[in-house]
Amino acid sequence: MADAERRAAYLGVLGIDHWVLRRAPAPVLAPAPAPESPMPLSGWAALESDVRDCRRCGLHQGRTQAVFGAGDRAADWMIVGGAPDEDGDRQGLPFAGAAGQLLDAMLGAIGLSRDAVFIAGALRCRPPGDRDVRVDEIAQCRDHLLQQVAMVRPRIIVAFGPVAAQGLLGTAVSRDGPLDGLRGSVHRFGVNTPVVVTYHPAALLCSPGDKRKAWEDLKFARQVHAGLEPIRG
Amino acid sequence: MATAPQHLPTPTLSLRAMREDDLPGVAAAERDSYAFPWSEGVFRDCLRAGYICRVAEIDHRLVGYGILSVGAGEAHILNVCVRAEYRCRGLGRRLVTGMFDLGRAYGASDLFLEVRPSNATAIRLYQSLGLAQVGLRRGYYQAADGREDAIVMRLRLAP
Repeated sequence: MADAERRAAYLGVLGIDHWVLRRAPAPVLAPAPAPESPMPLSGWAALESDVRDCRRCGLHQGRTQAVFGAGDRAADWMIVGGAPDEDGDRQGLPFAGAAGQLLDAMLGAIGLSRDAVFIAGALRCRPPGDRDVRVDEIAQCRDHLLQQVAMVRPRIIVAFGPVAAQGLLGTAVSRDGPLDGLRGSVHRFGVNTPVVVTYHPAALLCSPGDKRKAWEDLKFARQVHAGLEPIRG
Repeated sequence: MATAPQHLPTPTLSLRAMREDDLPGVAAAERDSYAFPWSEGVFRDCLRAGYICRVAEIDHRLVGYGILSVGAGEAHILNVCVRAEYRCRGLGRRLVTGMFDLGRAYGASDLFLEVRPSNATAIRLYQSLGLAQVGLRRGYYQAADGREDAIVMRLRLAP
């Protein structure tokens, strides 16, 4: 008979109430977990390789190459566009064509340059003939965008155009529909990274009248970046 | 007359990788613990973003969780939580030091975290583990009466 049981039996014979702790004893802590071996490739190399070989959606069939993104990998500002166009597909760079020149001017207007930001797309592969991208293609590409944002750790993301807005916010946005419902407020992506939405430069080339509104959006983004909005919920 | 004490199994705390099927329990614990909780979708994004996501368990029961981001030699604790019924037993200390070990294993030389100035218990724990305040982020958190600042704390992980 164990000591505890014998003691309880004696106490019972003596007519003494035997008290038992109601609560379980404090847990004995397991030894600290063995350190895990780090990933075989560094984070960026692993992600680049994953994107280069990605076949999650059908767009890989028509691409020349996947467009990973470019710029400062520790940038405060992250710029997100739509899908690569013909120039981007050929050069492997985001915002490669005429819209890219306007993007450079827009960034310059708030004191930024391409080298000082990280530029990515909601999609990394060009749709055949630049057709409209599908919702499921945007959704398939979202994890790579999440991973890029997790590694850059930007203080703000600016979404240029409806495809970028859809990729970041998950809300259906019509390609030609108004962005007005999304502009001027702070949205969130991933672990609450602030997102500000504005027009795609390619749309501004067609509708130059919206340039003034885009300028308002960029000034708003600068305010958000300056810390006038909370980051974590 | 009372019965003899039962021989309870000795509970041990273990950390394992968070999975998608942990998310409802994790999000429920988050809602119980914070006035402005992360949604389940934010935790799902943490998994998909490749953050180091761990659940702490005793006998396969969820006790707490932690989310760590590591990059460029820096580790950031994005969230760490022990469920209310398991607090005041040193589990938070073990969970947080487990996150330190993970940061080291992934090559970080410094670790950072943010904490609300009103969370005195957490601040005492972090200080006792060697973290020191290195900054203040104004208006970082949502609060019932507007915004609350965040204290930024740092720990040197590498010798």
